[in-house]
Amino acid sequence: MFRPDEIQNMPAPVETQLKSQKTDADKVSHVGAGAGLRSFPQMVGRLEDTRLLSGRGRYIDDIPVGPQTLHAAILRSPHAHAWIRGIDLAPALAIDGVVAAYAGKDLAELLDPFPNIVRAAPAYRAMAIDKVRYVGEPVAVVLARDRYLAEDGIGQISVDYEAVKAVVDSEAACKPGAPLLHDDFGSNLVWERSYRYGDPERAFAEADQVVRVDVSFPKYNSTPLETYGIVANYTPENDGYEIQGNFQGPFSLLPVMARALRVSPSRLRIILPQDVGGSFGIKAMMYPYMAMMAACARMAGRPVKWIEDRSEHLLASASGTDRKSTLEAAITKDGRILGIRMKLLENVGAYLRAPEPSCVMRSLTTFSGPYLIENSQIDAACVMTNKLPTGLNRGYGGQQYMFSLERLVDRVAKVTGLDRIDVRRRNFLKSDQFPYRTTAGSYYDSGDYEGCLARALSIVKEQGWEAEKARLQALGKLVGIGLATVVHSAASNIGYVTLALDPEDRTRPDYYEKSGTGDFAQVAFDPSGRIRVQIGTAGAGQGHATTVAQIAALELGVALGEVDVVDHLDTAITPWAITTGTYASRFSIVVAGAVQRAAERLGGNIRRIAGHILGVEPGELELTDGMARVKGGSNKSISFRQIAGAVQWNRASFPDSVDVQLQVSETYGAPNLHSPDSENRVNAAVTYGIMVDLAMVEIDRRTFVPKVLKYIAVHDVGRPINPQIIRGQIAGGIVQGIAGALYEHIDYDDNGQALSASFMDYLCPTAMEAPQMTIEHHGEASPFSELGTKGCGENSAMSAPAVIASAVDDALGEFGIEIRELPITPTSIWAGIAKDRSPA
Amino acid sequence: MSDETSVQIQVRVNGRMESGRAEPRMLLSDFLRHALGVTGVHVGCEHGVCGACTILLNGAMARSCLMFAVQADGAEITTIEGVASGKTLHPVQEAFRENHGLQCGFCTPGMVLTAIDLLRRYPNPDESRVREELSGNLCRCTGYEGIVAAVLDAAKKINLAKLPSKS
Repeated sequence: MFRPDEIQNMPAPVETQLKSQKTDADKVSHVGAGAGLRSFPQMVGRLEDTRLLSGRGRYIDDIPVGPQTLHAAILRSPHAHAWIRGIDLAPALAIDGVVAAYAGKDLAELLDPFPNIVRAAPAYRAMAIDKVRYVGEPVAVVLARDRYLAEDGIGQISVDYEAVKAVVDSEAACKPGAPLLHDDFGSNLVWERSYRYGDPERAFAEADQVVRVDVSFPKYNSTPLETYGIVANYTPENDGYEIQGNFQGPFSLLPVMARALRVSPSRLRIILPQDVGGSFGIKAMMYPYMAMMAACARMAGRPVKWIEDRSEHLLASASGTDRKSTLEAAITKDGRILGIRMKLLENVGAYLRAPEPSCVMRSLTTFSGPYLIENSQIDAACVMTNKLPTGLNRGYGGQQYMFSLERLVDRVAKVTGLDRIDVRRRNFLKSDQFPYRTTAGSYYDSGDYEGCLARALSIVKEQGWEAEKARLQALGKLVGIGLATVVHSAASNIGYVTLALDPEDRTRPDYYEKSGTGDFAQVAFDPSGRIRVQIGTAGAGQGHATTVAQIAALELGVALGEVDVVDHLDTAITPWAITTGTYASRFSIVVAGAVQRAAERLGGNIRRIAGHILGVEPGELELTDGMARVKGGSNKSISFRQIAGAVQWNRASFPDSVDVQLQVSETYGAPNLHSPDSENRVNAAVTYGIMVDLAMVEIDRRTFVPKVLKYIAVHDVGRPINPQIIRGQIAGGIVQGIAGALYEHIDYDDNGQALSASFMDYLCPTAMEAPQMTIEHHGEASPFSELGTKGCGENSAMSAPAVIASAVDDALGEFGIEIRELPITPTSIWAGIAKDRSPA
Repeated sequence: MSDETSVQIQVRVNGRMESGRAEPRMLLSDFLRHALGVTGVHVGCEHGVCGACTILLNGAMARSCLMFAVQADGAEITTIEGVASGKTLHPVQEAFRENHGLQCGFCTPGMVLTAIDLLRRYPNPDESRVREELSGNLCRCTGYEGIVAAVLDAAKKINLAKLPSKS
């Protein structure tokens, strides 16, 4: 059960490994591979906490702006699909305090469509010109002395719309005669490509049986509590733009914005505030608004501020895709999966915009999940409909494919009569197979899948889940237990995006290959010998400053309190890379790796300087307790304060041969990441951690309201840096995944009218809906990452929808219902049961 | 804002008299944030669901996005900035820190004030009481786990501090 003290008790790394060795003795050499690693220093709470608890956070809307700054409000389409026959901005401009108003064609004088990797895709602009294609699409913008007046302004604009028929269903949009969103493009199907790994034909020919599921994954937005916010300015002196905004990256979107704004990327300065109120992928997709406000500022000749409101956010920010998939497994009688065929239809909303169609790529590169499945045929397509355009949403494409794959595996269990757990065990990759190259090219670093599953099941036993289920069932309740076993790929290879291209295109002489992921960090001694670390990646609540301080403190032998961290970004002054950003669970691998390398290099300089002062070889020195000390019990030492002082105040005492640089930058580029090959094989990520999740769900017999009672997550996070922060990431991910399974839905009626434009209709889980959780780490240091870390950020946000579906299946076993579609709502359960009971 | 229609408003915020002008339609949350610079009041939805803008108004919990500033004229307001005593965090703030009851910090001001109000009314809440009382505040980061633990921990510590000392 839930115990508050459990929260503090996520085991520290070394203890975890020892514990694993004891409980799983035959895996000692494997599980204990990282046992020699030192433990990171820990603290109660985080360096960020006191600021945030005291109301001293500095979020985008807290930054003071001058009296010249204009406040923007955006007029949005009330229609799902309509021609714009005319816009009259004059009534808005007549309001005292309204300074300017622009329609899409006005902004087009300064702002081009955003480029996309699919070059043929219809133009995607920040503001509609001739036609609107989803409810909430920007149509005009008003700039005024304050936001209230700007809102008055948009209320006065009249737009002459000619509504046309809309289409929201992805399959309907593919049919001949469906309403066309982009008339010139001639089709709603904007991208499709087939991928083949191994020998799927042979696998299906040799199969004893073929098992099929048709599943549907919903559209939702793991919405941050703080909405988008932007303060933009044009700087005529360099024909550049400065945009402050709570943008999460990836900064590969910076050149996308720069291109649309017709400036070189170096003329687009992006400044992030100190604090960002959550992001979850969604704040990657604010780039069209950043460009829109930049263009507004230039046209108006004054800074422009825009804070998105909640309704705007739910209508017109971004979401994950809703996806329809058909999966077939070629299986043997004993439940081995020989191959998979998948057809994926991604609904990308009204436009295919960067970085789509990357939503598909996790389904390709990790199609086999944690299983030994070497053959697949994957046909993927993206279709445009009259819905909000899509993009990153925590897990980006992961939840969609994990849901479909795990539904398939549960179906295999059902068809073969095997237990759901047993069928997974039979297909798992084994510990001695790592590192393992999948046929899709992914290079799995390490894993103890069986051990992780065993640990999760032992928790189920310890907590008496089966007995609890039986007790509740005896009371007449519908109760089920479900599970999912999945792989969390982390720190993505930017090259995976190019899987969208024809392999032929990747061989053309004018094609530039894309691969890798990297980042920068600077570690410095201040004049008093304190450590200062600057990273180029701003978080949104993940505790980056604390984690970075732990890494630097361990490497340089100082207390955590001796490290200051600058963890917000200004592209003009912070080191950053095109892959910079907080996405794809990359921080603990890539940014942490850069910090480690920079700290090591600074440590080397400190030893050389101290060695010169003390008259010893640098190699004789160790860094500990804020001092450089001669190893072996000598009391010959010098404090960091003295070292910094000597360099700062007595530079002449050092010959040129001693590198006195006390501010070092280092880069970390993750290994094993290459551009896709001619067979579309690519290693899409740096690390791959197994996640075993279980849930117990109760469904009320009268109301059919589902509730998640308990949740277990046992994940391989590699070498944990800060167990408490990791635990918090997973707990949050669990509830976001449950939200997608049961509550949150960006829904439309058949005419494309939005049905979830406020928190009254878009149901975010509260503390009442959050289950009791047990979260553990089981694994070892990754052999592929600098620090042995694996990613942990997307976690159960990807797996929980599959787990909940599995649990609901179990709860509704007496009705023979198998979940094929999310969200699972009282209505959908009722409909399923009614169908089951109605005469055929 | 035009001078003809705006109204002078006086409020006591975290013990200090403050005044400013607001149009009758200005939300209290906007007045606190933008006229008085009390930016610990966060705005997450502006329709009373998320609870990030929660303040104590004359000692009672209120959503500052659901009130006009003029309605608060003469009121006594506590925001997150007024919860600590100097450099010493309030036991609820301290419990949030110790139990990882916050990540991005955006819901935190509303959560902390709601928890303080809850513990005044229910000094010994059980877990289900805490969950129910917090259910008017949305958090997107934590899964509520650390928050619930923090409130239970704060209750324990506040109650311990109330016990007469043995000496």
